[in-house]
Amino acid sequence: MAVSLTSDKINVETTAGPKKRLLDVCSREGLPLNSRCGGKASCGGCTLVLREGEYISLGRMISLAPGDKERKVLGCQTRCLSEDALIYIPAPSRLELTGKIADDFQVRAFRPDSGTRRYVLNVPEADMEDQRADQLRLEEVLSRVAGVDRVHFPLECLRQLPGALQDGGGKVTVTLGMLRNTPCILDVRAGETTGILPGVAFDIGTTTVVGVLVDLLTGTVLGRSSRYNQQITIADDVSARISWSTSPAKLKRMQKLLVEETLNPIIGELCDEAGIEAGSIAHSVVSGNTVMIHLLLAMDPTTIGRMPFHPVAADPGGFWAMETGLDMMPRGIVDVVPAIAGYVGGDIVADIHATGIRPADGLTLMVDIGTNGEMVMTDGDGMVACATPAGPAFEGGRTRSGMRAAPGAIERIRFGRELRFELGVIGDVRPTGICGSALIDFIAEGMRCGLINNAGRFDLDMLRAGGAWVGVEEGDNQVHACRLVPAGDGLQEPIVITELDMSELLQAKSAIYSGLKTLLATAGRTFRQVDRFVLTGGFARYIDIENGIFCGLLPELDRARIEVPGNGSLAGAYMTLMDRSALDSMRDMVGRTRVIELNMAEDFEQNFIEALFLPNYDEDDFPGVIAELEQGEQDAVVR
Amino acid sequence: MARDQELFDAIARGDRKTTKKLVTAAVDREEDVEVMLADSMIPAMRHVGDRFGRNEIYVPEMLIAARAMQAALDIIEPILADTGHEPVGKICIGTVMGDLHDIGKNLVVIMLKGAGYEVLDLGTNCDVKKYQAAVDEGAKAVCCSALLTTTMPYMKEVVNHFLDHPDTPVFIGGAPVSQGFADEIKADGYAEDASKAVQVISGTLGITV
Repeated sequence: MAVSLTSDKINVETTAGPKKRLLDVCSREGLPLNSRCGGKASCGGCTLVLREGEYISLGRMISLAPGDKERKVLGCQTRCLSEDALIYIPAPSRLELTGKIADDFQVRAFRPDSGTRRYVLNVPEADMEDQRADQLRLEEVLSRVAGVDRVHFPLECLRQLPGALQDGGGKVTVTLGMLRNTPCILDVRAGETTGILPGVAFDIGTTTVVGVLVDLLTGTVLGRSSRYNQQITIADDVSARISWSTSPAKLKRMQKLLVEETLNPIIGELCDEAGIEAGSIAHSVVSGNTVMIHLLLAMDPTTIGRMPFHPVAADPGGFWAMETGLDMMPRGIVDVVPAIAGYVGGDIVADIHATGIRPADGLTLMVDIGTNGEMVMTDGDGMVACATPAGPAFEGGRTRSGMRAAPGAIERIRFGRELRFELGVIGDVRPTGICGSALIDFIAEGMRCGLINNAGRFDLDMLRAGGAWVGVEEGDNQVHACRLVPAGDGLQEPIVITELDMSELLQAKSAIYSGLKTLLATAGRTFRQVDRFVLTGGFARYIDIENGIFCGLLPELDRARIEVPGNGSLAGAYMTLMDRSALDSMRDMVGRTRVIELNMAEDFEQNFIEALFLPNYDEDDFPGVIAELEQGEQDAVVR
Repeated sequence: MARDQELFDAIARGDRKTTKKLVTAAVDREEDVEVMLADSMIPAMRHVGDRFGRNEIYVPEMLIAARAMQAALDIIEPILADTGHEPVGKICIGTVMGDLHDIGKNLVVIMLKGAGYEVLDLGTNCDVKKYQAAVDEGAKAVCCSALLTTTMPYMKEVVNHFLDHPDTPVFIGGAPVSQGFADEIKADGYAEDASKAVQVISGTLGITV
């Protein structure tokens, strides 16, 4: 025997040396754990079950012989001492590295006018009549053909120039771009280059990164690729990543995980599929939250993590590709969508730009439903933005059988009083866990049939009558849970939803709803006055809107006023690639946006507490849901 | 006066409106608010805390009950101050420097008040000086809260500052905080929720509540 790591359907014998942290051992063996806190023993995401072997955990020795009662420990605080050991990794502790990811998006109509262009120039040869420099003779032609004067000619491109002129017999292809509003020559090649002029738009999420390859000449999307932000192998939320990046070396490591292990592989995949060279990519635009942008550029994010939450730079501007490490034309340009504040990032700015919400549209609310729910309101003049920490429950975090939206995740649930669960599972596989959209379905369906009361607790008689009750150990207590899928057939633990899981989801939905309500209240407005309600972010596309309203995550609005345009952050990055005026209009919008701190708003705490109930303690906010619930009760009595 | 069952129930189920009405009426009748606090209000919060401890209710119900309790306290606190009411102990609490998330801290405040303590609520973003000033005002213990992993490290500075004050225990809590972290920074106590916080603090101070 050796040190053996088992999980559902996976069994790995590790060759890692003894005394390494189990967290690191698992990561090394390709089974990374959910260490949200960055290995600080505070999130419980890396819980492991020790079955046999000798260990040291939090200063205590643990020795387990075959047949002994298994022990739960934190992978970040435990080292294996014996040569032989048997360790089980529960499904919720596993970090899934493939996932179903939203890369669809809609953009509003706009007129493409990419700042990146390509010109074929015939540069006259020098002779004794014209002894001017190659540079001047090229710039003169460029001025005539492109109407561009005073162009910045970088040293690398000057070095390319004589060879290109000679090989092309005076004919060269010049790629021109805009860096910080200055026209720059990006590349000089011999002869005439035809075909596409590639650019890439990125949405850098805390969890997921998506890239699209675009022909800058036409705006055609040539390919899409996505992968998890590899920084999650170290820490899975923004706060934990800030806490981890405490030294310049660690900051560099974070940057490397993002650039070399996430963005460059996406570029590689896009290029392979399109049959082009990465070195021909002339322009990239990245959109992401402020912390992701700091980590991309290896700027210290520390101050974003504590009051007054300010970043080093909100609008760091554009860069040469070679400064960022991205696989592109060395003098390609990387633009960063400007952020509003430390917790209100460029992703929401891109969302606003892509959806085209404007103060003139009447009262508009937009929210990016995610771990750090960012939201924006416009009401006649200017915009107000804020963020509300919802936590990872929507993405399967902090819940017993929770997982990300990956193959095996239950993403849809329907049932009635008999508790016959109809499950929709991602991929054609047996379910292994539950993702956030199904948790929302479960709570809404449970409310409808009376299984779940307004405080998120089960009707135990109904649960037992339906044969779905299980008691689950959480700490020193047993909590009630509803079993959706029994253990067996490769599944080591049953898939359940506990009352504690519902409590986690209630806190997440409450953060979003109360954030929106408080934001409106700062302008003396209420949900009923909202003209446009825009839900952005990958997760929004997967939730059932009716169920989202039923459980009080979303306000009860006329459905025609609700829009779900998809990944607005990616759409905004795409539009920035294709429209050179986009960055300036975003900057203008950032300048007209005020940020408020919800925790300092008077009503936030009260709104939050009320929104912890289903659908809400303030029943006046949900007349339709309340009426439906009352009707359901009457029907039950009649039956 | 024995327990006012109607008031007890109103607080326990978080009915703020009824709670206010009953307390206001009692004050108008010039009932002894100190007795009302001791016989009805504190037992109601203890009942809520016990049920929470047994997993019979969760955070939402506890918060809503705490809100009703706060409404009652808002009415009687000025009267208690005038009558020279003796609390079981005086404690200060605040969210540590850099952090302004205080919903959890506010719940602990009410649970402590609900157990009969006088609480100096220092609010959010508290530095060591603020805690020290509260101790100078007579606080017998310091409670620190943090929601962000990025602000947790400041708790160590508070603990270190009070190392020279062995009579002033420092307690820590908040979502990312754990017993392991408390041991690491040598805090005097940690509680995972507001209900346990009262038990841990009272146990350390040797106060029966």
